[in-house]
Amino acid sequence: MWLDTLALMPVLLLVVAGLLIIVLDSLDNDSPVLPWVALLGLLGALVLELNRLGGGGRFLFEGLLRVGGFSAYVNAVLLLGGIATVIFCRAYLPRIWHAHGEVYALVLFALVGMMVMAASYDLVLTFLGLETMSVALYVLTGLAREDVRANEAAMKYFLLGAFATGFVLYGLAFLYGTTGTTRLDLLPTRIPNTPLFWVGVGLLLVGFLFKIAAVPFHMWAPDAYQGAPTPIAGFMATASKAAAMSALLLLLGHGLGLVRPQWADVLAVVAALSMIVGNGAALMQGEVKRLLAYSGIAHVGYALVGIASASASGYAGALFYLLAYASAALGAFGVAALWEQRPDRQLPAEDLSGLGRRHPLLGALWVLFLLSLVGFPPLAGFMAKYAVFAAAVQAGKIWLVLIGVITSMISAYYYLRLCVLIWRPVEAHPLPSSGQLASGVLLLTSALLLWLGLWPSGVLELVGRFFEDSGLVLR
Amino acid sequence: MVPAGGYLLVSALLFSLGVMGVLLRRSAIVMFMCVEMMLNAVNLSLVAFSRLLGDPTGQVLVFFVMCVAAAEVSVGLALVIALFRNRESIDVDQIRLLRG
Repeated sequence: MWLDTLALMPVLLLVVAGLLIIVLDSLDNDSPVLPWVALLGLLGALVLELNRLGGGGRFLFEGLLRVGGFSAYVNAVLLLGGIATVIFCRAYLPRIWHAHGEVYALVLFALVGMMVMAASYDLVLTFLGLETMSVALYVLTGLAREDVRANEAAMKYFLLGAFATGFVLYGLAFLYGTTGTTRLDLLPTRIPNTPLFWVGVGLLLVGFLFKIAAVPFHMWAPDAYQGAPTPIAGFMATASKAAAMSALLLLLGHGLGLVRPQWADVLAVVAALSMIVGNGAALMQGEVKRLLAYSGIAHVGYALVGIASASASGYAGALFYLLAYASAALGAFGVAALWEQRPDRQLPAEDLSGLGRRHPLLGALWVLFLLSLVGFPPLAGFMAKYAVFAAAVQAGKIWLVLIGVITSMISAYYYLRLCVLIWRPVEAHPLPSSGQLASGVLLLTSALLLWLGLWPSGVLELVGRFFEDSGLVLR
Repeated sequence: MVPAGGYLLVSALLFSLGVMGVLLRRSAIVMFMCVEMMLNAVNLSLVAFSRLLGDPTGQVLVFFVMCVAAAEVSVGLALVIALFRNRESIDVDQIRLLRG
């Protein structure tokens, strides 16, 4: 029992750091030390997770949670997102006069929820993780409380999020009622073929698809990202999606792995819709954060192609996709956060003109992030798309791959427009906020993109080891 | 004794009422109350299932749901207050700065 608690150290470290931040914040309000406390906790947790990345997973608390392997990989992605978010918040929040200490505590608590989701093998625990994450994110979205835009964003996110929670719970109740268990490892042997069970699965799917902002449950995402502080929008786009996606993968791949044909086609349709609607709507966006939100919806579609393939290589591809997308999107949101300077916290695309001439390095990084989002070789985005598309071809879903390739080509239009825009010969304002740490994070994520693109075999092999050939998350 | 199906039926009715309320009403507070009704409908079916199966997990989950609902209430009401301070209105049809 005590050993099991020790194995939860990364999560506990974040809890302790979060509580410490709250205490320190009450002693010395909005002290500049707080982001450092958060970073210390995050780095410690990241080291611990990376340490058990290679070994197989281990069940804790009689099968309630499983650490190492799959969850260590997802948690590492989440912690990377958390570290980048804290560093960008430190550079960005003072500029909008909201450098509140509790922001860092809330980011850590949201991460605790996400990490629990990625490790949970019991739907009760998954639900608690989901809510811990969501409630913290509602607050972070509405951080600029004097701004009507932030109020609106948070209100929409909250109302729709709570609505989706109702569906998750009702689905969970049906699943429990028809199988008599909420545990994912007992579920495969107890699947009844009653309509009530499948209604429950459908309701659970609605809730999860809402959290990852897949079409047709995506309406909240562009509004929430536009109204939220920019680094927080990046956090929601990457970490919360990765966490909900891994919980979905555990539920479908592990819990319902034996009845794959029943859900694979539904997910394939959702993936196709997400790619089409996400990329189509992004073409018409003038605001950068809103555009990145729609691009995020499209990328969820690409990752879902991997899950819809319902094979070990598809799941591995989806996991690789999460890391590739998170690195590129964190970088893009980071550059947007550093460059944004309007008092209403908006960033119309025209505001980017001249960025590249004023700050060539930042401009080059921006281009790199966007090219990876397009899926341009030899960057990570290309390898990730290749991995999920190859799995879909193996699964015989050629039509899905066709839609994916065509929408990728369409998406090149709006990404490249943003790339070209920054090199216009216009006099641009100096960088409103900078920081060596923030630039360090941007360099690190771009290095990660290049590394994953040029030498993907290491990570691909690693994520492939989490799944047996049957596709169940068992190792 | 009422058969378990009766409880599940009431729960389904309450849930549907909640869903319709969220979709049809335009006051943020009322929508919010409808979400709470959905959660309580789920609680009812969880307890019913728990009795039916003779397994305590469902009843334990009900306590978690209540906790989560309370946490959501505190954040949701804070958001409603922030919105009302800036807009003097909580009609969700009137807040539409963000679109496109």
